Amino acid sequence: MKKGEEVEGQQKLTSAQGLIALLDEDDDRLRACALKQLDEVVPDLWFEVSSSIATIEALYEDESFGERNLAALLASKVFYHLGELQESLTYALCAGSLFDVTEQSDYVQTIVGKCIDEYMKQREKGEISGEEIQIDSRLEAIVQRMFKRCLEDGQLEQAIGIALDSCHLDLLRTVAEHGQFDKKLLTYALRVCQNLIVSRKFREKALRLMVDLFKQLDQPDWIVISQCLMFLDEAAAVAEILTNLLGQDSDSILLAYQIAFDLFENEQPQFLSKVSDHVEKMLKKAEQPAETAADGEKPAASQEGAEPMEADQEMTGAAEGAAPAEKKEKPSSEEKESDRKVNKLLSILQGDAPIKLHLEFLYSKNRTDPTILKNLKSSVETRNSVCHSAIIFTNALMHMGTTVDTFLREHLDWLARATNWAKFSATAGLGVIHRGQLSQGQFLMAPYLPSDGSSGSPFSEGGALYALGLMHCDKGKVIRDFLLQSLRNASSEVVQHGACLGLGLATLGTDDEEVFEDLKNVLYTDSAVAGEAAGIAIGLLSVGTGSDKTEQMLAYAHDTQHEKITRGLALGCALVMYGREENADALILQLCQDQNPILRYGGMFCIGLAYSGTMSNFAIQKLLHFAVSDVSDDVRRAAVMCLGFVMYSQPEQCPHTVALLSESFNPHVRYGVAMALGIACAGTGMKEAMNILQVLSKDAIDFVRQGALIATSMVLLQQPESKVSGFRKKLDKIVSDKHEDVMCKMGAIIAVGLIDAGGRNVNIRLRSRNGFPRLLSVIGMAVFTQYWYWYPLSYFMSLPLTPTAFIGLNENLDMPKFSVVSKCKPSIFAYAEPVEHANNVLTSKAPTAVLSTTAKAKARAAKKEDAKKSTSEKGKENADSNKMEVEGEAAELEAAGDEKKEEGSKPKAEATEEQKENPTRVVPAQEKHVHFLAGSRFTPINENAKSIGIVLLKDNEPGKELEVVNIPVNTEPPASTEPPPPEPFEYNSALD
Amino acid sequence: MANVLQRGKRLLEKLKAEASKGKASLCEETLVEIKLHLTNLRGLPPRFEKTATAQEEILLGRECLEQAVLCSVQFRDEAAFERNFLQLNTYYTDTKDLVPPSEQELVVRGLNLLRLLVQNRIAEFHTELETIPPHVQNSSPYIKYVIQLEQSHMEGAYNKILNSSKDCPSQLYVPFAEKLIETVRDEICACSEEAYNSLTIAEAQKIMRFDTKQALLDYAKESDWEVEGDRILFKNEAASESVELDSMALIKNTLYYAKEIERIV
Repeated sequence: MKKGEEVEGQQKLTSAQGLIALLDEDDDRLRACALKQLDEVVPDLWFEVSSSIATIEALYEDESFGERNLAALLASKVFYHLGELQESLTYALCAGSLFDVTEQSDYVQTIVGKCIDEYMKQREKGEISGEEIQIDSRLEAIVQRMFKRCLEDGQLEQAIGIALDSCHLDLLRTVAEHGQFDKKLLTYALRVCQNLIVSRKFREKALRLMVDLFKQLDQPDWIVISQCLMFLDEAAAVAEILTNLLGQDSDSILLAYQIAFDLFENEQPQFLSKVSDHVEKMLKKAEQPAETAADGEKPAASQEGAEPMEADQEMTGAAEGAAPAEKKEKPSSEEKESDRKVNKLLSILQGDAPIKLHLEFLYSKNRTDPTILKNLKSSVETRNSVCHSAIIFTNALMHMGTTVDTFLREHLDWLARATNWAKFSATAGLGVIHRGQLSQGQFLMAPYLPSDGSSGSPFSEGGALYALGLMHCDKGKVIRDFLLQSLRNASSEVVQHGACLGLGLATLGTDDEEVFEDLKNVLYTDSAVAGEAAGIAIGLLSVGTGSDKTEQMLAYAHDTQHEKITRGLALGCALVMYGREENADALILQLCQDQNPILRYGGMFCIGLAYSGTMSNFAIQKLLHFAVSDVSDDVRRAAVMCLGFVMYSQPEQCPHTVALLSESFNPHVRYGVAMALGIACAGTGMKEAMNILQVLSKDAIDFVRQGALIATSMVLLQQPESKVSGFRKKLDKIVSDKHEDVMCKMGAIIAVGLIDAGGRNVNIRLRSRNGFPRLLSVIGMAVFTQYWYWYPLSYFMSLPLTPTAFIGLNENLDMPKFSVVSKCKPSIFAYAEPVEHANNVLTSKAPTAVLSTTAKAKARAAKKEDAKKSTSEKGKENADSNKMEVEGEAAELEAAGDEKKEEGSKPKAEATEEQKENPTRVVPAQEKHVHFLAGSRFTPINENAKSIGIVLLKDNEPGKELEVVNIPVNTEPPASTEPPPPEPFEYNSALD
Repeated sequence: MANVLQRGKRLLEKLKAEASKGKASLCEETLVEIKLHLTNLRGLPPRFEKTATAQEEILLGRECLEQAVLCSVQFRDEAAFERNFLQLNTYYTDTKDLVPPSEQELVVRGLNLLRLLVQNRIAEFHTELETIPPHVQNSSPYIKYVIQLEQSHMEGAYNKILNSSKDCPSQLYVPFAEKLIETVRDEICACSEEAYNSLTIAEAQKIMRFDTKQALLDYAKESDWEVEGDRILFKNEAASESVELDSMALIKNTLYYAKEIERIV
């Protein structure tokens, strides 16, 4: 009764009985009238009408009745009011044109929403199954009508949503044609594509379209385009963009570098090597014709790239010789210039440049606190080899990538207690510490490798080979042959084990046939230790390729008697299926239905990795099913753990999904919950996750506590110190408690290492900033979780740890002196403070806080000599450690030291913002507070760039003199590294 | 508008004329026509538009439907009566502030109550009765009469009901009052069936108040009673067999539930 509402004082019907009675009349005209009038009053009196719904339905069914549509509409409205949306929708569709989508009532909006949902569901089903699904044309008509209305009203985001959700690219194209697709909209669409589309096939199609659309923009955003192309694995297209940009003005060159860095950040080794191959090929072709065709000016390289492949080698060779002669000096210098540019681009793509930058960053900003390690060492019984090797592992984590191995050097006696596999692990730890030292790798490990036929312990040799793999992870071209040779020569299964792991890491994702053959040979020797490593190595070798090697692997996994080999192969299968989504379903099914629990265990990882970061409902359902129903504890644990892998793209979803499982009676499930939270919420410090972990860390079962501690440190990684300090104290207590279980203690020791990993400059990032999963990190994490069975595999933890750096570069890939501003109190993210200036006070304040507590705790526990390092000496100690870190900045340090004394008296006065010098640590939580300075000499080339990661800077005052930050990394061979002699000093007896 | 109204009035006259002649089929046709015609009047429920002639329209609509109700009484069509009354009721409830009350209202309402009584729909009878204010219940002879009947019915004072058909307040009540006797008889028969194994025909005729023996025999045939000689046998052996409760099973179940509940908590 709309009219009744509009006109005040007008009468309203109190009962629809009269109208309903009319429906029973024999005359059709009367019934039609009744329907019409009921339709008007139904919003108010639906409860009366609902009792005679059968009559109305019968009227619709009656073919001879003229106003069937009206009856359908009325029935639809009644069902809507009854809350039966499905029925309501069916009748609304039957009502045909009487159902008016433009009406602004709740009823219409609800039903239209339902309608679109239904349409999307059906389309999606069709898209996934690949079959043509007959969709009700009436349904389609309504969706189309709504879509048109969205376009007319300018609600383009909604239109995009409808188009993408219903897997209908034509619609998306219509949106594009209809209105100017601006960047904001496209970015929105891209985000929807990445996060919300379930079907991989359709996502690829959609992204392809997005790339086309992006290219149509006036100023195409090449960065975004290349990211999409990366997902689509279109190496050639990316290479084309890069070469094209390289041939243009200096801004474009910077942009090309930026794209290359961003691509590198996504950790897609196969893709990057393909791109760099293409670039090399294209430029070799393009270079020479360009010289002959144009005078000095470089035409767009892409045009050259498009030239036929038969570009004559001799011709170009001749031109090369002729060019410099003809064109005096200018062209030749330009040619050199372009060569340099190409080399730079290639060095970025092949990882040399970014790895070097990260190494420099980690080296110079290392904030590891050696006292923590010393305390650990002294508070743990050395005869306990589990804790002993856990400390060695912790040391490796804390110094990951910093090249600082002083702790090991200083405690060689203590280190020597590591025997057999502990020795293997300890040697591998060196690889973690020296991670990224590509050129020096073999040199560094030389003492442990057999030289001239004489070899030391097989354990240290195997460990060294494994270390080489960790060092060269996915950049292993240089080391591949050496490792392969070592594998062939290896006689002991320990060495084979190390060589397999090393080789797998070095040839990650290359799918190298030769390596595969060798690994297979090792596998078929049926030696448990070597076979396990070979299984994992094959997985690493073919990671993410989805190749049919899995058949052979599975066949052997069934054949062998050794559980270790089966487990290695099962994990290998999971690795091969990384990121394959639906393509992995067949294998997943096969593994999950296997009789052997170890293979089902592999199946769980297969689900987790194949659907990593997709939030796929299918995967989550399957994992939850196994988590509660499988008979094997291992499988259940793995199932819960893998939830973390599926959900890390939306960490906020994870805690409430696993919350119930965390109360499970089964300790394995509880352990899985802890790890799932650690994986999904790593580095977020999320409160909900912490609440669950807090409970789990008081669990009655030791290994649950272990998992909870490790996971907590993963979650708290690089969180503000105010959140972390409590946890540090707790770890301290567990480590020093004599009655604590060994398992739990081990967890605590590893947690200590994790929370300060990489000199406090790294974080776990399973997703790149652009939202793509990072292969290396994810698989590193997956293999790390295998430490449950095999401690040496814990060293895979170094893969997911990525520097959280802001590094600004100019066109020469040098770091200019430059600063960004952080708009929040410096103390909040204090640990990251660079060594310079006023900030120094704060950085030193934070470590001392730890120092004092640990020192006190230790003093109470052990009353050792170290206790002398009391708070009064803090200042000196800090100055010392700073000197150790960066020699070049000694002068600034002094100044900082002075200021510290001044500020020490009035520590309360705190600035609300701070300047951060290039390069600097920017932790994820800090990201949004850090901005580029307006009016600075350098501005980022990509105006949307966030101040994190490697950012190319444009020099706005090109002529001016440039100050470059230079960080020499100590790459001396370890054998010759002696502790540096004390600095010269003058003895002054008066001071005494 | 005025001629629409005029036409309505003409149709009403026609209906009245046909009703007085007792032509059922003609009446029905005219009624449909009238009802269709009424939908053209915008002042009527459910629209309630305030047209200039709204009051007249409502009056006309009400009268038409009242006439329709009376017709259905006349032709003893309970279903049609119900339909028409429901349609008419809207006027009584929703337009009572717009137009003066109808003289016929209480008559029609009383009839409706009587109909409900005839159909043995006692719950609805009382719901309907509640909508009539108490002072009207006491003052109106139409309503009082029906209330009286209902009370007798409840008491089981069937002879009072049977006698009451003689003092109907209006001639209109006669058709339904006669039907009520049948209802009462059904009630009595149902009771006898339970109460007795068998009855002699003479007694049965007396109890069930059949005027002739033949009427009783017809009724017995309809109700599947057996007639043996001068006795009527009721088939109530099955009903007489009381179901023995399986107490052991009951106890067992109860104990099981108790144990389960303890376990759940």
